[in-house]
Amino acid sequence: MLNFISENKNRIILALLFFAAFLILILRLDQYLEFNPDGQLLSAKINDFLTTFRSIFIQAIPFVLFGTVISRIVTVFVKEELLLKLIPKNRVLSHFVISFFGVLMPVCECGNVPVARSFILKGFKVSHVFTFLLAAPIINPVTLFATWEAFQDPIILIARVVGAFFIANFIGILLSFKKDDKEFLTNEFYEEVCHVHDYEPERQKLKEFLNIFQREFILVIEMLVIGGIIASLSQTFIPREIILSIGSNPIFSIIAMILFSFVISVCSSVDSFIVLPYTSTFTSGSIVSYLLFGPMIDIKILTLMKTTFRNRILIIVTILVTLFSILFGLLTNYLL
Amino acid sequence: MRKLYSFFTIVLIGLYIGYLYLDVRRIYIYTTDRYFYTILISGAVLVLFGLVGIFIFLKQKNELNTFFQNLKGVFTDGKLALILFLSLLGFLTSQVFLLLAAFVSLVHFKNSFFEVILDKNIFRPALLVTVVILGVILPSGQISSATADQRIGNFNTVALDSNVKSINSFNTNTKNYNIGDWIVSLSYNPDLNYYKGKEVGVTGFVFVPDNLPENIFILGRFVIRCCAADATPVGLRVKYDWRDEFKQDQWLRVTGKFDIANINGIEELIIVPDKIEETEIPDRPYIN
Repeated sequence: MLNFISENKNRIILALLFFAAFLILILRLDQYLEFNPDGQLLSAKINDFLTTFRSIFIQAIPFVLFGTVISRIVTVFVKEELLLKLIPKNRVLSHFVISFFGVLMPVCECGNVPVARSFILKGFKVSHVFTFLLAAPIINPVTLFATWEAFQDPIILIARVVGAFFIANFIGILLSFKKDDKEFLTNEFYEEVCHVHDYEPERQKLKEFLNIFQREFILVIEMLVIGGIIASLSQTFIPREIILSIGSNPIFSIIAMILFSFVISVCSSVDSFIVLPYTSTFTSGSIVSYLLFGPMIDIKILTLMKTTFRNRILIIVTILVTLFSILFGLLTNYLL
Repeated sequence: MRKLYSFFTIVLIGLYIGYLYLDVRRIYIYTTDRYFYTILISGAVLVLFGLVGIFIFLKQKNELNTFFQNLKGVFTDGKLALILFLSLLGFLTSQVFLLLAAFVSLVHFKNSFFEVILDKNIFRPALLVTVVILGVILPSGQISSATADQRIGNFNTVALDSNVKSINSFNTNTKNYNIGDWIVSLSYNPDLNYYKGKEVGVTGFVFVPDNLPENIFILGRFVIRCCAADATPVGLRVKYDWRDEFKQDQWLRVTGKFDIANINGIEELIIVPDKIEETEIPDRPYIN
C-alpha cells in the first residue's frame, strides 16, 4: 500500500485535485467566486485571501533573493577550517562563539544541516554542532533584517535574538557534558563519512552559482507559497470567534503558533512574513514562540537531521526547544 | 530537465513582478512605498538570473533536443488529451466528468508521455507557475471588509508612524486629517467632548460589523506596517441611513461634524455628515 502511494504520488495528487474540483462544484462552493456588479472585486473573502497571500509572496521575494545570493557568496569566502580555528577551548565560551557563526554564513536552516555535517567531519563536537544548528538560522543578518522589516517592533526582534541565543547555548552546553558524543550520531552517518566531495573546476563558477541559486531559490519559494497559502486561507476562512478566542488566550495562542510553525516549515529568512496576517489577532508572546520554534524545529528540519543524528537526541532537543519557546512566549506575554 | 523548469519559473516570477508595476496602483494593493524599488529591483534580478540560467542550460545541445522532444510529447499525448477533454466537459456540462478525469489520471497508460512527467517530480515547479499565472488572470483588489470583520477585535488599536506629526499640528489644521490621524489623536486625547463640533472630511470604505444599529456605518481604512498581510482596520462611525444608497466596501468621501452618540451603551464619537459622495479608490488604499 505504502509502496503504491509513493510510486504513484503525482497521479494521486492529480486525481485528488480533480476530486476537489468535483466537490467544489457539487457543493456550490464556487458561489464564493461570483463577481461583484462592478466586475472588479472577487467575493470579499476570496479577494482578501488572494491579496493577503500575494502580499506575503511579493514582500518576501527580495529577502529570499538576498538570502540565497548572500549565502552563496559567503560560502565562497568562509571555509570551515577557518571557523574551527576561531573556537576557544572553554566549554561555555566556545558555545557562545559558535552561536554567532550564522553571521558569517547566513544560510537557511535547510542549508545548515549539510554545513553541520561537514562540521562534524572537520572535528566539531556534536554539542557545538547543535548550538550552530539552533542559533544560525535566527542569529544572522538576513533573518534579523527580515524580522525587523516585517514587525518594526524592537521587542519582538530582541526577544527573538535573546531567545535563540539562550536556547541554542543552553542545549549545546547541556549536551557537551555527555562524554562520548559519537553516540548521538546514526550509523548511516558513518557510512557517508567516506563520501568524498568532488569540486567543480574554476571556470564553471557562474554555472555552479546559478545551479545552486535556482535550487535554493525554488526550494524556499515553494515553502513560502505553501506556508503563505495556509496562513492566509486559515486567517480568512476560519470563523472570527475561533481565531479571537485562541489568539487572545496567552497560553493557547502560543501552542497554536508552535504547531503552526511546525507544520508549515518555512525558512527563517521569510517566516516573519508568513505570520503577519496573525499579528493583529494573536498575542505577541505567541509570535515570539513562533519565531523561535519555527527555525529550530519543524517537519523539514527533523527529516533532514534524522539522517545524521539518532532519534533519542532529536526527541530530547525537540522537547527542550518546545519548552523554551513556550517559556519565552509566556515571558513576553506576562512581562511586556 | 528540472533545472530548465526552475529557471523558467524564476523568470516568470520576475516577469510577474514587472507586470504588477505596469500599473502603479496595482503594487500598492500589496505593499508600501518603502519597498517600491526593492521589489522592482528583485524582479529585474530574477529575470536576469533566470535568463542567464536558461541560456547556459540551452547551450548544452542534447538538453535542447530532449526539451523539444518533451514539448512534442506533451502535444501528442493521449492521456493528457483525454484528461483535458474530460475536465473541460466537467466544468461545462456535468461534474461527473471530473470524477472520470480523476479516475483516468490514476490509470497507467502504456507509451504515454504524460506518465513520464507524472513519474518525474515536476509538480513542484508547476505549483509556482500556477500561482504566477493565477496571479495574472485572477487579479485581486485591496483588502476588504471581510478582513476588517475578521480583525474586529483590534479595531482602532493602532500606533501610526505619523502620530507625532498629528499631535503637533492637531489644533491648526484638522481638515486634511485622514481616518488614521483621527484615531491617533483619539488615542492621545480620548476626551470625546474635545472633538465635538470639529469639522471632519475623510475618505474610506463602508464597513458594517453585525452589532451596529441600523442607521450607522463605519467608514473604514486599513493601516499597514509592512505589507497588506498585516492590515489592521481603523474607522470612524457615520450616522446615516446608508442601506438603500450604499453597499459594503464602497469607497466614500464623507464631510461633516463630529458629535457624540450612545451606541450599544457606550459613548462614541460619530460623524454627522453634511455631504457624502462616492469616490475613486485612492492610489494608496492603505495608511502607513
